[in-house]
Amino acid sequence: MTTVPHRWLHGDQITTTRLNGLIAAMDEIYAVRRDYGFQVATPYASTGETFTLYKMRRYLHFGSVGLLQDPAGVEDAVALNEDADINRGTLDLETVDWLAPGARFYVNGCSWCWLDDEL
Amino acid sequence: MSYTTPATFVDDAVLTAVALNTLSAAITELQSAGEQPPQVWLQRTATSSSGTQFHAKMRHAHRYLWWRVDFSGAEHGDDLELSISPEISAAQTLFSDSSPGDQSYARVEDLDGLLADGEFYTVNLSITVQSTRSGTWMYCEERSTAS
Repeated sequence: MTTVPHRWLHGDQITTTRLNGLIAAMDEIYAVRRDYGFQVATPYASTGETFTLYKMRRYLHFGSVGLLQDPAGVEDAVALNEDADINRGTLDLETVDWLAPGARFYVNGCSWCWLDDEL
Repeated sequence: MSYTTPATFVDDAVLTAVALNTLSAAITELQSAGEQPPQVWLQRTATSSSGTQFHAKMRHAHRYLWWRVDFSGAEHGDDLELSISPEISAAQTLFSDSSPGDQSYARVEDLDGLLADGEFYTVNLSITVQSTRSGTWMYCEERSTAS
């Protein structure tokens, strides 16, 4: 990429050259990255296996029943129960007050886990 | 949605919120394309001549399902089948071969029209191998391109 967008300062004029510099920079990003989408499936766990996860998204989707656990064993575990109608449960991780953003946590007993920002 | 170049600004035109918001929309699209999901894949190996079922969960976002199974040698398999079981949409068998003869199956399935955007679904892989052979599910992923 070669276009450096203008860094605005108070009092700067909004010129077409400066605004179009933003578009040129975005076009250069797109030329390299395209709008290429990619995501990996999450395999089902075998009985008794434990997922190690990090709070990088807001919602934890899961299958079956299990426990969300504090790796340090200090905080209370959170019970996870799926909705039997769709065989999936969803927990808003914002409701787990001891789980900080980026923190590691375990999920034991569930058949699968999926972290997402969407409900 | 896909990225499109915003309209160029021209001299003497009124600078509007709509025009500026086209920049925001384009940046948002570039950001979403670059985000990587937190999931990781774990390979699964089948060794049973009476059949093994593996499952994986996916949330539909991209058009193509890429998957691959590698067998341990030639003349190895008695059955190989991949299907999907969505929460809402109809179940589908995407691949079925009762006598797989290749050592590696790397396939791309077109999911267009089979799933709703954002719908959760289970990918089911059934492998039956011949005695002393094995078959390994190497990966399973959605991509926006077929190649």
